[in-house]
Amino acid sequence: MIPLQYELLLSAALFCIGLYGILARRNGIIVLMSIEILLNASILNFVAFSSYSGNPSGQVFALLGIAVAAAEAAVGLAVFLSIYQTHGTIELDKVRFLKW
Amino acid sequence: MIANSWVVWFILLLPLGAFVLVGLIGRRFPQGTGYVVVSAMAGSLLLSVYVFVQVLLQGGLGGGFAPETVTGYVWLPSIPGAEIRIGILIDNLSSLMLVLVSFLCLLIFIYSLGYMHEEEGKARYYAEVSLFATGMLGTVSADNFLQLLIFWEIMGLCSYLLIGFWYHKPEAAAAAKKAFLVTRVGDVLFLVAVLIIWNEFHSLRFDVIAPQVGLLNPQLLTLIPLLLFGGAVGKSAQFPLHTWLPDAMEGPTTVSALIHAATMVKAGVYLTARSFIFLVPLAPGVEPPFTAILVIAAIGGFTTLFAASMAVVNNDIKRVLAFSTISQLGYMFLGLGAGAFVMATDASRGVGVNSAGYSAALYHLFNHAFFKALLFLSAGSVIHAVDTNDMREMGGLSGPMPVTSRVMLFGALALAGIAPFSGFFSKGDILSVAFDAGADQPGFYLLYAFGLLTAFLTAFYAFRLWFLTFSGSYRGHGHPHEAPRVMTSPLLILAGFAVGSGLLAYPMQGFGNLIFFGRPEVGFPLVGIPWWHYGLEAVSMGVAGLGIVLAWSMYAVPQIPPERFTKAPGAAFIHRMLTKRYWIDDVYDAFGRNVVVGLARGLDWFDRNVIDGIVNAVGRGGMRVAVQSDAFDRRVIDGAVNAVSLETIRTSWRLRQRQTGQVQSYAWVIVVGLVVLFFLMFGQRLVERFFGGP
Repeated sequence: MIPLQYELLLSAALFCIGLYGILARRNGIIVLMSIEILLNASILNFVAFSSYSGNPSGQVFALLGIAVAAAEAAVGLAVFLSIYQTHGTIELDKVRFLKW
Repeated sequence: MIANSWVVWFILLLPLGAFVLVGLIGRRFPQGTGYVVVSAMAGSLLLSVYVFVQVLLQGGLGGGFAPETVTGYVWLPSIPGAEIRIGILIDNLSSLMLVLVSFLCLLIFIYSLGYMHEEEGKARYYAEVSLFATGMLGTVSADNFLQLLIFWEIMGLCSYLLIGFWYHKPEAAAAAKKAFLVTRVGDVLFLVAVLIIWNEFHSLRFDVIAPQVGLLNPQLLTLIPLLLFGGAVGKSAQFPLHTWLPDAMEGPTTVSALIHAATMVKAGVYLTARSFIFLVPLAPGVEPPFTAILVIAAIGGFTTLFAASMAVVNNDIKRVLAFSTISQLGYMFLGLGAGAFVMATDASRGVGVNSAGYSAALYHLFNHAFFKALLFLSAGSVIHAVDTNDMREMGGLSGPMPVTSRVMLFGALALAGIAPFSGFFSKGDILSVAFDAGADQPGFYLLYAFGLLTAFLTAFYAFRLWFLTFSGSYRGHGHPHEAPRVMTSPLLILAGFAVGSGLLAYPMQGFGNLIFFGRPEVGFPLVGIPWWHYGLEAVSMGVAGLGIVLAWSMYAVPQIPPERFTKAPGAAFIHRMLTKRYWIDDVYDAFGRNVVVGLARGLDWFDRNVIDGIVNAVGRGGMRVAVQSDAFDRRVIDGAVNAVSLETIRTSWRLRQRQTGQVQSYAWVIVVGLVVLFFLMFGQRLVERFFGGP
């Protein structure tokens, strides 16, 4: 049985990596991947607490989260594809058409 | 009760309908308008005669006819019993007046067919005379004072329109205005009387008021008949409101005949006769208003002499007749005043009512209507022939105008009061009554003397007019010719009446039977009267004869040159005074020019400088306040609004700088915000955990 603290530390590490990716990287795909990592960090949290407390509803949430993450990735990739077609790039600091 | 009494409405409605018809579409058929009006008037006459005959038959001679009111619709609704209805009063007096008015109007309208033949604006003329006749018929048939006043004013309007018929002549326009304004003075008094009557009795009907007159206090009992008489003074051109009538001669001669004979001026006499319900209250124990009675008699007696004296020197054929009308109306008022006095003294003594003066005055009204219409229409015929009003340019017209000269002689004899012409009977009656009244009030002897002197002057000026016009040789320049048949036939009919209307009292057993006041009065004129009345009649006819002789010797066989009376300094002054009409017209003009215009000027100055000044000052003040308010608005109110909007814009400018479009910067904000939130939510607990609680 892995202690809960390790799992939470791994989850926090994953979350920080994802956060860093979102804030620091320019490539849209990388940012999308970082969001996936963020989601997986929180899913890991669900699973950890579920096994820790013996309550299986956390596992259900984890499955739901994976499904949402897949859908989110599909929508995000479609958005980036569309942005690439109109702007010819997916560098996020160049995509500024939501500017004032 | 009169069978089919509703027909009386058509006496009024026929001429009114003719007025509406001719007035609205008369211009399309100007030649036919006269015939429309004449036939309407003939219908009125027939109906009037029908009503009159019914009254006579039902009343019986000497029996008296119970006055009957034909009520129409409610005009002014009020509490039950006090509403004002349009109604027609049928009694002996009004039915006689209806016949008289419609008959004379008919003759004058027929005469107009010839007289106005070549005139422009015929439709206008016929419409107006028709309305005029409606006014008089309505006046004499009204059953209440308000209705009487309305028709009275219709007549006032028509007199204005007709006197100013030739409105392009400045004198005619001025005369029309003068007639309207001068009679207006009296009309205002009449209106006041009507309002007082309404206030006192809450009714305006003669038959409702008459039994309640005793309830009035003595002051009002004096005031009401005086105010009514004030209206009569204006309408009947008595002193001091007589000035409009001579000037009214600027209208067509037929209009003068209409005003003088049948309508208008007779309305005043009629009104005064109606106001006998106030003058002689028949309720027991009520003191009659002797002051009012004496005022009426005195003004009548004075006016009769006053006007006759001015007729003597005038050279305008129509003006002489106008003054004569004023003078004869004065006789009527003298008769009414003296009659009321005799009646009132008899009543206060408890003796039966003596209506001699009342019937004498109306007898004179009746006779005068015929011979004055005759005189005016003959004068119109003369004017038609010689094209001038000035008698100095006439003379010798009895040759070319045999009919006119003879009928006018009849008129002059009737006016002078020579037996058996009509004027003799009624004038003699009036003078007798005035003499009788002198027994109780010596002032009436003076009025009688005035009347007698007037009888002399009347005969003189009537024959001066006739001799100047018809005898001697022609002094004018035209080619006089007799008037056409349509004009002479009314003259012949009227000449018949100038003889016969006085004698009419014989088959009626006294004129009093026709008009019937208070009690039946059976008696033939000149029969069964006190012996001294014969003397009085003889004296009045004697002085009239004297006047004729004087006129004859001055103008027909010039034995006495008229200059003899104007040479001596005193006489010259009198002559000048008479030709200047006692300067009364000048005084009124001066009053108008100086006092009224001065007052108007003063008021104008006051208006311009004081009222306008105040208004302008208020305006300027308002403007100043407005400028200040405008500045306040612009600077403070608008400033505040603008500042708010400007600040909003500035803030929004700054805020939108944050909308970079960079998703990652948004992400940063989210993260920082989350961290801040986290610390806000859990910060205190963290601090307590790590650093130990308090």
